[in-house]
Amino acid sequence: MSTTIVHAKAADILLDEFDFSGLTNEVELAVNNGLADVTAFLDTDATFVEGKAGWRATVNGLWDGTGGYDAEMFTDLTATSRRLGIWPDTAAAGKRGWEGSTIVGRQPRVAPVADAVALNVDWIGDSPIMAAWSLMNANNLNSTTTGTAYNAGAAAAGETIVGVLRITEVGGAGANTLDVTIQSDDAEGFVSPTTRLTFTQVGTVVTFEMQSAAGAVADTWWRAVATYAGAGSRTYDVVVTFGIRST
Amino acid sequence: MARKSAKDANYQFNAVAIEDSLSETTQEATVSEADITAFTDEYQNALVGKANIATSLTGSYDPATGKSILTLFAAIGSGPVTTVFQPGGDATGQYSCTASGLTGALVRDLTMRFPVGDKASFTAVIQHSGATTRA
Repeated sequence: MSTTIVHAKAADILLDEFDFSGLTNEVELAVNNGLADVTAFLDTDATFVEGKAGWRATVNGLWDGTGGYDAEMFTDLTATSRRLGIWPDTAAAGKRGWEGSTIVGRQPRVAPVADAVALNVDWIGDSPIMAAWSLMNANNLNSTTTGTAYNAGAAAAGETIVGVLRITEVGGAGANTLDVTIQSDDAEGFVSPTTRLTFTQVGTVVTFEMQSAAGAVADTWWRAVATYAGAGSRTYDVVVTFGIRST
Repeated sequence: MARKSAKDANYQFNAVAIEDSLSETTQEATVSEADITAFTDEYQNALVGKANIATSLTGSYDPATGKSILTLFAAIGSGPVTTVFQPGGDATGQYSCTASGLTGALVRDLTMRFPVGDKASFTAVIQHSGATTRA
């Protein structure tokens, strides 16, 4: 099997409904398994068991006092359940990335006399991180669109399916609406799809929403469907991601 | 005497060969010695403890299904697995940590790095729990 080595030059960093890829330049994502040393006298060798896994992400970036990044970080300093998406090879449809719910740990603003002002943020996971799929990533969407199907696997009992909808931009004018769902099927052709997750109808404002449901789901194929309706000329920048995580 | 370059090293995690994205592997064996030096000793003296082996992996980030990152991530919270480390790329001096009960290998941590000016990469520490055998 060939390798798929990734250069991080075009990573996408999504936070709630914001795309901060234009102001961030380095990410370290660390998952810790919380091992406990259970070595007993009778053991010949050191022995360990798993504890509760945890994760954190350090997102380094460039401070921008007017473009919204600094304000968004500082205003929501103590906000909870911020949805961080880390997409090392872009969040284009079909790519793999990481999605998780976070709180802020620390966010130093570093201003050295001979360098750019930096805004670095430590995000602490407050629920399991998941290896996600990007199901849809469309700019200026203005018609009903069915995304490509991807084999993201089945969800076992005890696992949770999670979908994240991000509307990062709304343009144009009118009374249009967008209804986004995530469907599954047992075959790529989607002859008899089942709607698994339904997001709140989008109107005129940028937004994000996380929807989840408990497994088990035996279907292995997943896709996003965006239904565009109403009079007007509104356009939507839409990112839909999906993953299966431990509950 | 057969000295070896590390250029052909192999590392298998839970029956998945992941050396195609690894560039460095370090198997660290410590024995937690206990200092028992007494006044009457001529030199410092120590007692041997229990062997503790962990393997550090360094490599390039490969997000494809069945490759290093997702294989290691899937093992978090999933109990011990079997690992096989072949520093010389062949079966000579092959180290195995085999899963059974509390024994086997556990992912201690998995850290991924995405710098704008370099490849995406990762490091992981695989903690051996119980015996590691050398073939």
